[in-house]
Amino acid sequence: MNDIRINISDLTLSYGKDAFIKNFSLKVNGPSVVKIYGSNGAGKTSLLRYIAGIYEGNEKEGSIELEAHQTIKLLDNTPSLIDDLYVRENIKFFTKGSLITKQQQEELLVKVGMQEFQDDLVSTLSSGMKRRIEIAILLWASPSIVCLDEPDNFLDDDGMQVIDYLIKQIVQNQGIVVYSSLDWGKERIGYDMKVDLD
Amino acid sequence: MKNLISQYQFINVLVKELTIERRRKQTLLVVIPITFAILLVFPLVIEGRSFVSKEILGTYHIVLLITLCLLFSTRSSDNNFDIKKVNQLAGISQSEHFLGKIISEVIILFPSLILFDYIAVALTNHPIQTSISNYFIFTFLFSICICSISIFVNFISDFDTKLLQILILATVFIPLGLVMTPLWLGVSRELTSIYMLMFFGVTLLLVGFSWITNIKRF
Repeated sequence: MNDIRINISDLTLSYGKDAFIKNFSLKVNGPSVVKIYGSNGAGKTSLLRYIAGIYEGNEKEGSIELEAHQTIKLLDNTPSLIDDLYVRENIKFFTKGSLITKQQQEELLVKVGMQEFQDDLVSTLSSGMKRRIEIAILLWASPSIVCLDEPDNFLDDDGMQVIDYLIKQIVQNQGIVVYSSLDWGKERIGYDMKVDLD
Repeated sequence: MKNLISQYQFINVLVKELTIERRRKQTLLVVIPITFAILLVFPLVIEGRSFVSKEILGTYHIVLLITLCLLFSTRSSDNNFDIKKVNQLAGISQSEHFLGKIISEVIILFPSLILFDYIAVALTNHPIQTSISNYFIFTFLFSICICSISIFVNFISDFDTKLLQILILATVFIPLGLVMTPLWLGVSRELTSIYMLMFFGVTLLLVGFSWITNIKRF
């Protein structure tokens, strides 16, 4: 796990003709937390989606190097959960189909403070609650690289503690956390490296 | 079962899709009742009476089949990016997603088609002119074709309006309906075998095409 790294070189991302990220490079070696700062439209979300492998822009240049065994998960700024399923069904679906036991599922939901809502439909939950469930899924998956798109969105102070816990867990497991933020000065989440996209 | 699902992720997608359908009940409560209403109204509009004569039986069947399949295919729209996002978080490959999706769609459409045919036979008093085994094979192949096309069109026409989607789907469904209708009207045994072979080839082609396009695009 020591060879975990992200190596992006000369990356250009664009939708149509206008590139919003030009010749961007990023090197991360070993477990660390990277903060990507940028104003609205700077390309934070696109960059995180690019790292996660689901970028949908028209053009891209440059390259990204990741180790083959590395698993990457993205916490997007819009929820990825399935609205028509209950919380417990979502957990089962996103944790590779029922390998998780009922007890583990409950423990996981206790960690994110959602144990009371496991029999609720996801469509009835607030954005913050949905985000907590996604964090529970990430905690179970324990990926090598986690991309968090504005993770402090929708979350109260308790929710922020859950995010802190997730980041600690990932770094403890020798992983890399890349998160985006609109705040340059206010530091709600700690970091080892800061990248300015503006 | 748990191991099986974790090993074959398409089962995970299949279970998810069937659970969503069971909860929304779109096919049962929207698609079939609307087709049933058209089934009742169509002879009144065309012939001015609640009776379908043998001359228009073919047209009647094609129209209803296409209506049912169009409503089924456009009952919910898939957003490509959302699928990608969900699959990325769940660790499901596009190939597994396609497999799970097409199997779940066939599981929903196949009984719906049989139910539709049963109602149509009861209302028109024109039995299906082929053996029961042939009927099931043809209907099964037909539902696979419809689901492949539906997934493909949903995939390439990722936009808000359903009009173009309906137009594309209708254009493809008409020839497929033309293959199914002779079963109702009755064709010779030899012709049925040729039809079946042809239909089998078309099904393989459509599934392959839809599968490859889905994986390549993602």
